[in-house]
This record gives sequence, structure tokens and C-alpha cells, in this order.
Amino acid sequence: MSLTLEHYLLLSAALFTIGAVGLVTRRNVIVLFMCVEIMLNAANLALIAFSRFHLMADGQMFAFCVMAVAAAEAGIGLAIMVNIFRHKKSLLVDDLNVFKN
Amino acid sequence: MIGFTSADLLGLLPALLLVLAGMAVLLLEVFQRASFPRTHLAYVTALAALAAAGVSYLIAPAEPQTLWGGMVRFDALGCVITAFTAVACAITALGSTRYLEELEIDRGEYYALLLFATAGMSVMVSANDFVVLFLGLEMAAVAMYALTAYQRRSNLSSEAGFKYFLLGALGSALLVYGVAFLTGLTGSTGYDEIGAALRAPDAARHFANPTGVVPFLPLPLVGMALIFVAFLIKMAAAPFHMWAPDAYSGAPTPTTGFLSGAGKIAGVAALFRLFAGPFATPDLSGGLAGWTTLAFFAAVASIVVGNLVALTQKRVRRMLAWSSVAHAGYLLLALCALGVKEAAAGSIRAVILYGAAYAIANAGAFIVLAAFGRDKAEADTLDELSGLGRKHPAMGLALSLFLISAAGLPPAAGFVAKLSLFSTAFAAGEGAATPAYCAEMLQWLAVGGLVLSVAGGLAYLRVIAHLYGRDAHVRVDYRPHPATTLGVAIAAVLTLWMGLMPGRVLVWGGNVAKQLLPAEVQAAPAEVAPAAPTEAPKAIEVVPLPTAELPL
Repeated sequence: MSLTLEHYLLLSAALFTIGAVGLVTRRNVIVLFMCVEIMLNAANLALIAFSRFHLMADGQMFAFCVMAVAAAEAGIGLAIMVNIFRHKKSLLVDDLNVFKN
Repeated sequence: MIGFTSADLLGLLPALLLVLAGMAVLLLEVFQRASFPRTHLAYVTALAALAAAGVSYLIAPAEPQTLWGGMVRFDALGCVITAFTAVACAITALGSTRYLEELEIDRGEYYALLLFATAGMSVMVSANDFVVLFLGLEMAAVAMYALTAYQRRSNLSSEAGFKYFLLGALGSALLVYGVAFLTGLTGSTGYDEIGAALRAPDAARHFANPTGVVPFLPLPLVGMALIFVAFLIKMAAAPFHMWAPDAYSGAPTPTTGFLSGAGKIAGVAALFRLFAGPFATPDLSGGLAGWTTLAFFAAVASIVVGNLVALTQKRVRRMLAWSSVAHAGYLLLALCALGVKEAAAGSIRAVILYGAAYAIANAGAFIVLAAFGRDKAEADTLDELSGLGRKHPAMGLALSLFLISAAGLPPAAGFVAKLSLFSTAFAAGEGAATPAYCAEMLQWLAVGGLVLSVAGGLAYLRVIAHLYGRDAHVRVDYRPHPATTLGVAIAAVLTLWMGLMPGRVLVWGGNVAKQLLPAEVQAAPAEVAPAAPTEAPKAIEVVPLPTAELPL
């Protein structure tokens, strides 16, 4: 049995679901960010699988752009998290409640 | 290897100008003494943004062109939206200088981020390929996350930035996953190729059983839905709006107007390009994905939630944040009307006018609020604004004008914009080609939206009543910075101009419609006479039909 497009798509769907479920259930902001990154990488996997399937490089090029952008996003996101930790001494979303009052 | 010519560069000139100006501002900042105020950087930013707006007006092509090997579409939509977002950027920059000084966050990066965000929006609305769309969207989004969390020492700002960031990143993930499924059709990320594949005679094949993995799940359909949801998140439309009130009330006040106004119109313009282009069926009715229905429910939810919750808010910025959700709903209402062939051109004109009016008035309103912050806390509760209209007549009048525009009352731009929007939506209901249920839904939505916009209007009028209230708690001894006054003046003049003489903007909108819609739709009688309410002036009727001679 060989690996086909379907296998890659199923793996990507599984990764995407893991990320989405984690986003809903986890409480630590860094873990939340990791969940979003897993979702992005699931999307990348699907892109590359389709790109290989059609033998066209568009999808792979897009995946590279996504990685570059994800790195920039991580830079901004981690900076914001450091800032939050300075204020709160905590990284749990339950403590993010300044707007409640 | 694909080469490029000077024509390719010309098409992206406004974005290039904004990026270069942003880099220049960063360089100027390096050679700056720490204690020296950055007012001149605000002027440089405003000048560059206004120049970009002027350039995009001047270079607007008479015929749509495809540049960069098919990746960028250079047409009236991109030029008009770039122009208005750039003007909003200029207003915001002018209104920021004193505010940043008072909060001791007066650094050049702020202005560079504003310029980069505007450039990103410009790229995003010009995209003709999902790669370019994604890059533009992220260029704007990453800059906007940083702007939201810019006030480092503030707890509020960091938290607002994080919420915006997390939801924005989620939106990006959904977008990329959606694009992946559409790429699966042909292997290409171009709008044209994907559109052709979706419209191909055998397209039903993709929708029935695309890969054999999940026979009942048509992947392209899922892809379109994911992309649509991603845009709803980015535009803060219900039911994906929960981040917006927090992000908007935690961000530095001047930027909030820019994020909520310019960000929204760039997002909705990109959606219009998608839904009039690759995702459209030849007659635009319904579409393969039935996206009219999706847009309809999002519009209903946004208008209801935004207006009703705005009424209950005590703080001005939170009120404006919630009503920005309602404004996203109105923009989506226009998107619904795009799905009806007879009303498509009208919906594009309405969305251009509405978006322009909203982005400009919103930026103006927030810089007035920023100017009257007291003791480094923003003028936020109604109490702190009371008496503004009597102690600072010009500023009070300008703020009232912006709020009136947002509420949709004459003589401000918002009135004509709402009028053309609702009449288009109502006319869309008369469309013969539409399924009957869709027509009826749209008419009910137009009527319901009108009623709810009255409710939302009350929230704005309450603020105006406080401006002219008996007791004065506003900063009396405060004189706004000349830059702020200039920014408010630009916003006020534009809001009045679009309110009293909307013809020009509607002509631009007509040109956008002509360049955006497929030829089959153009052949149909696209003009629907707006069913103007009885008390309405004849502002809409005098508007000439779009002509090819005009540059925009």
C-alpha cells in the first residue's frame, strides 16, 4: 500500500482538529498560540499535498509564504505575551479579565 | 522566470510609496533624540499617506489590468479603497501626536506601523491570487496587532493586543486551510484559475466527490466557507466579533478608529473581489456555495447584536466598538445584494460610499476622543466628555458630525451611504432572477436593519446630548495640537462633502462596479432605481450613471 493524497489530507484534517480542540480547551496562552500554529501547519500540509498531486508549485510557494508570515506573527505574539506576563505574572487566559470591570 | 515591467510597478505605486515612507520614518526615528517630540514624523506620515491617496486617484486605470504575471489586479476597486484607507491613515497619524506624547509612548515605530498596515490593505484589495491576498492581509494584520498592543505599560493594551492577535491568527489559519482546498481544484492559487475551475461545466464533479476521502463533504465548498469565516473574524462581524470590543477599547485611542474603520473596508473590498470574481456564478445569483445565505445570516447577527449591545454601553469607546460590529453587518448586507444580478452594481456603489463614509468619520471621531483624554486616561466615560460642545465648540461640532454620520443622519455622509445601502438591499429583493425566499429575506433584512439602525442611532445621540449637556467635566484649559485640528478638519470636510455631494464617490463606485462585475451581468439592466423614502432628498437621483471618461 502506498501513500496517496487522501492520507495526507486525513493527516492534515486530524492536525487541524487537534489544533481547534486545543484552542477551545487549553488555558495557557502559549499553548493556545501553539494550537493556532498546528492549525497553520495542517493547512500547509494540505497545500503541499495538493501541490504535489497536481504537480504544480503554486501550493508549495504559498506554504513558504505562510511559514515566513507565521514566523513574523510568532515574533509579535510572543512579544505581547512577554508583556502580559510582566503585568500579570501569569499566562493563563482566566487571568485576562481587565475588561470585565 | 517571470519578469516584470514598469507597468507592474506603477500598479503597486501607492503601496510602494507607503512602504517606502514607513521605512523612511523608521530611519528618521533612529537619528532622533529620545526626548524630542515626534510631531514632524506625524506630518511626514500624513503627507505620505495623502500622497499615496492622490497617486492612487491619478493612476486609476480606465480598464482593469492584470499585473505581476496575473497575481495583482489593478483596477478601480483597489485604487478607491487604497485612497480612502490612506486618508484614514493620515487622519489617524495627525491625531496621534499629542496623545502619544502624553502617554510617553511617542516613538517613530508607531507611524511606521500605521503606514505598513495601510500598505498591507492596499495589497490585499489588489490581490488576484490567494498568495498575494494572504500576504497583504497579514502585512496589515501583523502591523495592527503591534499597534493594538503598542501602549506597553498598559495592562489593557497588552491584553487587547493578545486577544486581537490570537483571533487574528486563528482567522489566518482558517484562511490558509480554505485556500488549500481551493488549490486542490487545479493546483493553482490564482483567482482566475480557481474561478474557471469552479465554473467549468464539469465543476459539479468537485462538489460531488472531490477526492474520494469523504464522499459527502465537497472540499471546495468547505474551502469557500472557511475563507468566508476567516474574513468575518478579521472584520469583527457576528458571530465572530467577541474579540472586537476588548481589542478596540484597549488599543491606543487614535488607532482604534483606524483598525475598526479602514480594516473593515479593506476586508469587505477583498470579499467583494472574491465573490464578484472567482466565487461567482455567471449570473451571480446565489453562487455555488450559497454564500448569499451565509452573508445574510452574518449580516443579521451583526446588525442585531451590534446595535442592541451598543445601546447598553456606558463607555464611549466600547459603544463605538459594539456599533462597529453593526457597521460590519451593514457592509455584509451590501454583500448579500451583490448576489442579486439586478442589484449588483448598486450594491458595489453603496459599499464604496458606505465604507468611505464610515472609515473617515470613524477615524475622525476617535482622534477627537483621544485629544480630550484627561490625566492620561482617555476620554472614555460619557461624563468626561460632557460640556465638550460648549467649551470647545469646533471640536464638539466635529465630533457630533462624525457621530451623526455613524448614526446615519443628514447632513453627514453616513446618511446618503445608509440610504443607498438600504435602497439597494430593498431593490435586490425585487430582483426577478433571485430565488423568491432570498428576495423576501433581503427585503425584511433591509426593513429590520433600518429599524435597528434607529436603535443604534440613539446610542450616538446620547453621546451628543452629553457633549452639549449642562455640566462641564471636559478638560477646559486644553488646547488641541494643531496637527490634531488639521486631522479633524480633514475628516470633517470629507464627511460633509460626501454627505452633501455624494455624486462623485458614487461615480467612482459605479466605475468599480463596471470593472469588477462579469460582462454577463453588465448586459442585464444593472441600474435599479433606488426606492427612496419619502423624506429623503433627491441626492441619489441626480447621480449620473458611471461613465468611462472619468479616471476613477
